[in-house]
Amino acid sequence: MKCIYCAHDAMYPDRAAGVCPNCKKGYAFEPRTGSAYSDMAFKSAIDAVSANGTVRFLPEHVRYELARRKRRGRGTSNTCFTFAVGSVALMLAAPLAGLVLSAVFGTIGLLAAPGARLKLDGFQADWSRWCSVHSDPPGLIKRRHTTKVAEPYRGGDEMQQYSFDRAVICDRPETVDLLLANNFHFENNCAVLSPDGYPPRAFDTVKAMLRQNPKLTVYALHDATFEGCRLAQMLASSPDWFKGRARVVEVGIRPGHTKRLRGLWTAPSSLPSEFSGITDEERKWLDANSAELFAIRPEQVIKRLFKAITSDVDALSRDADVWTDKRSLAVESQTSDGGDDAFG
Amino acid sequence: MSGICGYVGADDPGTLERMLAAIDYRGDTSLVERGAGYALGYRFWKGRPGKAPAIVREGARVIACCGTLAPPVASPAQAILERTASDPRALGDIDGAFAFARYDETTRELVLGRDPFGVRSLYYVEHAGRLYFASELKQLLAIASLPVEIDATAIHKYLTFSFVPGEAVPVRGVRRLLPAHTLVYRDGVLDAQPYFALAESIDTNLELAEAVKQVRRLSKQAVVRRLNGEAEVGLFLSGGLDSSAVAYWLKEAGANVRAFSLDFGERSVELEQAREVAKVLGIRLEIVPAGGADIARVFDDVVARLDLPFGDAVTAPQYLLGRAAQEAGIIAVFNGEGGDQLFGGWTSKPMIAAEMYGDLYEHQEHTREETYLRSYHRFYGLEDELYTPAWKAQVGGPGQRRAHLRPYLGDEAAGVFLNRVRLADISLKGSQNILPRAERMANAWGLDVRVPLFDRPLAEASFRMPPEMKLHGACEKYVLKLALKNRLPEDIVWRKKFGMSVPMTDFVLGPMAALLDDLLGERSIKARGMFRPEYVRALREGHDVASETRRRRVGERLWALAMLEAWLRFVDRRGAR
Repeated sequence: MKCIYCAHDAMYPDRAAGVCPNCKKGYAFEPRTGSAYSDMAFKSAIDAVSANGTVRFLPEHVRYELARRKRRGRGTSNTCFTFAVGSVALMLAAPLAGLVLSAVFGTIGLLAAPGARLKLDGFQADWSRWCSVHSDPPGLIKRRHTTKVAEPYRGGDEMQQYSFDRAVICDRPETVDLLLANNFHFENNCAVLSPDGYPPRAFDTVKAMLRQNPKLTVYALHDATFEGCRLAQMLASSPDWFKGRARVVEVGIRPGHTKRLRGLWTAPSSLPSEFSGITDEERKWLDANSAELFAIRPEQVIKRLFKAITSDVDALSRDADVWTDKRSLAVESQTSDGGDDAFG
Repeated sequence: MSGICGYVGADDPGTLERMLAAIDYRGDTSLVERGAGYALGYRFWKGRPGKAPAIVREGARVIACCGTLAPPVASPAQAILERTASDPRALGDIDGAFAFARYDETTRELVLGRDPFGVRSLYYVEHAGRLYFASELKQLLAIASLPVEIDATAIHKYLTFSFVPGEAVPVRGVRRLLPAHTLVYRDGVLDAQPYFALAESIDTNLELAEAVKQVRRLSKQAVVRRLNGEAEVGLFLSGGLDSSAVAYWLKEAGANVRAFSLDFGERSVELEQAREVAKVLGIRLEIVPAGGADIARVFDDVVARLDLPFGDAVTAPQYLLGRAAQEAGIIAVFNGEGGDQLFGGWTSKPMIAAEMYGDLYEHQEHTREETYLRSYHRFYGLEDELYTPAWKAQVGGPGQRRAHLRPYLGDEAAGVFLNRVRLADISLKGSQNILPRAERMANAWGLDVRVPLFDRPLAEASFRMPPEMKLHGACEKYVLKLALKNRLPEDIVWRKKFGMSVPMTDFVLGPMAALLDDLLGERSIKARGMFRPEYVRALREGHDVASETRRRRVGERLWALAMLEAWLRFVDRRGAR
């Protein structure tokens, strides 16, 4: 197993003490004693979600990255299945060789049969272990817990005279964190809030500022959950938010987008009190599943959201109060690294 | 379209002449005044209208002055000499675009001075027992015995700001006199002091309608104050609000105007708007092609005329505009620079967005200064990607870049948040970047540049207006827009700001690729030893860091690096062409 610091490849007996024999730095995991991954594999997942430390991310992104890698492994299992079928055919011609191959590939394939749901138990414990051994990785989003962060912004009187060019409203605070920590608000003069009052320091003032822009465009960014899929409709119809005051554009994940996230779906969300903004077909999927934005790498979320907000809103399709940016959901970001997850 | 130079100290034969020769494109004639312990030089275009002798002696006092005052006077040199008769720093309400050197033979005191907003530059260096000064750095490089050593910290700042801020320039020992400052040199002691500083003084009783009237009156006055009897003046017309506003007020002032606009081919952003403004105002418009190949051809000359590294790609198109204006027989050009800084343009918005959210996360600093530095979108925060370890070790400790911002952004007493951002914008981006580079590019073609929106009465009035008159909701420059309502076409007044968007990424990856091969190719990068070849290579292949969403940053960053390398070569040959 390779050390993440010095790349020394140590055999098990030499690393049994949990320390690299070369540089004496510790290992977080030991596959020989039951860990699901090596340190190098875990680091590789972190490097992928952080684009080598240049993009900020949350631990959940690493969780999904590890799951995605497992899913790719299952992709291997599909290949194994194909090989197994081929082997059966071969068996007809060369019985012994075909028997062995079909047994090997068939067994591997069955063990890793494709499933729709995200399965990665024990991630939280693994994450804690990683951070305690190697400290927080570069780019990790970690909220400050200071009074200043929790208190409302003090210069609100002046700021309420100004506004933003646009707003992204997220169905959960973690998505707000992802955007703010990556400076999306700063780079795009964009308000970022979640309806539950996050972030508390800015929430009331920013909401008041949004009233100052009569040409505001609002983007609803959300998971494929009941509440998430209702978000755009709620924002467009609620007098407390943007009813009659802004164009609301749907840019989140909806059930129709989740095919490529198969294997990363999660348990259904709780039922809402009403279903406006959700089609019958979507409801059917949401009754059995949900899918989180965490399943998409941060770099991709940011680039596709950027593409959405720089698209011409007038060119979007409109359904009642909500505009939908189908293009940004359907295509990969031009500058992406070609990650395999689709944003819906 | 002129320049000065000189020194105080023992006679230095031949040096003054070399310093004057280094700026031969600033004039065809030189004047020299020498005395015991000093020498003054002035270079200018003989026969230009409105030009009076710019080296003036009055008793023991002698002055060399380049540039013009606003309103114009017959002899700026004489006017400054009179203003400073009793107190060398007493420039009062002086305005315009000038730099001067005044020497008193009795007291052996030298006074240097620059205009309030920094259109004209002035550099100085203490060397071999003398104090040398000049309008351009290349004139100081002409001092044969001056050691030339690159200042890594100043380069580090350039790579953040896209220009070198503050007094230090990237040649060690050479200092820049800041705008609105005078410097007194006597008995070997240097003392620089400001004579003017913008400050907030909000008039809470000011009604919007009155503010609009003030903007109209003062803007027109600012334009009139910069007309100097020219038969025809040029205007660099982008089609945006600010240059269109200047076009309107020039016409209202009765000036004979000829406009010049850039054509970036299919990537032109505001060309149609420029045509519309010219048509509505009855201004003759000349379209100037500015493609990547055009820029590649003039690049070396742009670098030499800029004199210092300016990393914004707008400079080369400005150079092409200047050439077109000169070929059309123009000697003075107006532009619309300053509208954003004075009236709360789009650059304020990201700062407000960042201010609202504050410092939410661990391991991530979100101070105002840090945010402001990031707003330049060059290499702040990318040092680990760009710098080699050896270069990183040379650039100095943390906090040096932020120190330039602290007087504005960090000082709660400096006023409301918007005004603090505007003060930083005016003092840094405006006075140390936009104005000097515009002056250099105009002077490259012997043109006098006029920047009416950087006008003292207008700027002071803007700081008396409540901030919401400038940034009104999401509407930028609100009071300026109201001032132009029904005077310019509606879509010119109210359309969203685009700015002069040079399609530099297309250029550097396309028609300029061969030039970049030379400047930023593997061999050049390795020889210089400052930057990581793999990062520069990735940029040249069109790839930036993963967190970057905008493709245009590739071009902006490559341009800044190419400009720096070309400028370093320019210094390597001591400014020689």
